[in-house]
Amino acid sequence: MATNEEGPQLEAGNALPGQFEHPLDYKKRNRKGARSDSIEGALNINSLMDIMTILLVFLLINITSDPLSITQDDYLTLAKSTADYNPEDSVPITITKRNIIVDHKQIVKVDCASGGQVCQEGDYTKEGNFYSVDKSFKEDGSESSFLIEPLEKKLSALVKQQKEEAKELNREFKAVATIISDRDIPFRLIAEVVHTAGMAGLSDLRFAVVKTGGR
Amino acid sequence: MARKPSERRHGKERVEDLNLSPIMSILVILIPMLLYAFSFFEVKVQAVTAPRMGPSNAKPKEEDEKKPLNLTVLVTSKGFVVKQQAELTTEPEKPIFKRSFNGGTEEYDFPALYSRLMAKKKQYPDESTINIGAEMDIPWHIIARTIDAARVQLVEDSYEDLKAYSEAKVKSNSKGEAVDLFPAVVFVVAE
Repeated sequence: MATNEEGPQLEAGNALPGQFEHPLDYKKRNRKGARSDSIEGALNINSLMDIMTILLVFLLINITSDPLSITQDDYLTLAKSTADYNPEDSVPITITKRNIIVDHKQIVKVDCASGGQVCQEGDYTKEGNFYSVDKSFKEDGSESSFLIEPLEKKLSALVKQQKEEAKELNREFKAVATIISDRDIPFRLIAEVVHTAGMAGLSDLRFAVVKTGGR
Repeated sequence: MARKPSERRHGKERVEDLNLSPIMSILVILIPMLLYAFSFFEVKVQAVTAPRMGPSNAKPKEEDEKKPLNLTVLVTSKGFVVKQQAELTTEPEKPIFKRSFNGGTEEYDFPALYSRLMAKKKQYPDESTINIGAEMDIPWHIIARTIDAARVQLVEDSYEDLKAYSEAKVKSNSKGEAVDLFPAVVFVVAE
């Protein structure tokens, strides 16, 4: 590789600090600068910013105004209905194919049986599975009981807390529970949850559904 | 007289553009996050009253001396069973069995259920309560559709075809509100 005795070759206007610049290079750099100043410019992202801001506001309004933030997946798919009542502030009880969830906490595990066997990972999407709560979670450990004890304990505590909050804020406490249930959950489990909610003082019930055109 | 040198060329009025790149970076992260959390489906609610354990009995109103209809729909694996107050029954109600629509698999006959309930409403126009129960293994989505069939009146009083029933519009009054069929739904659990 050929090397220059005076050091590395520099292009016009690229003199290293402390080095003298050739007068011709200086002129070239100045001419180029004068021309290119008006041509070069940053990408105009103002219109993109406008779109982004509108989208952000729209999404924030929609998300904050939704009292039930539901994400559907393989374990929670809502039933479809033509019902037209909007959800309101209430105690949400979520029944998925795996758990009963209150206040973002898993309260009771839901057992799944597919053809007499315990469901494997891929079985949850199949039809005809049977979902139930183990009798150890029920009152007196009885299979026939409709009272799910850990759920009743949690709901009672939540109702008590909400009553106190309502009292402090001089508001009326509405004993309303919204049940967000998967479409395949059997009536037995729904009835157990509804009965337990009733025992905890939540007698007015709402069932979350996805609005559909056809019934 | 000498002309004033151009201010533009000397760059005295040149205003630097606001650097929007950090804001853009935040938005690019924030928007996918919000889109993920955003529900692209409309969630509504069905109002149901808590169940009463044991045989269902509608509470009679104090001022009302008439016997309550006590209309009950039970969803079974074979179809629907419609029951009412024994004293108001002249002949036993026939069950509404599942049937095949247009040669497909057997489905619950929601059009027949709606038609039966509509006939009951015509017979007892003041009645607004319906008890809905089911066999223990009936999935929730069937019960939700049963509640739909019992809740509001449709344009026609009777439907034969599932497609016509499914696409039927809700009957509305002069104010544009939906006309109720049996809006007060009570869950019953028959032990």
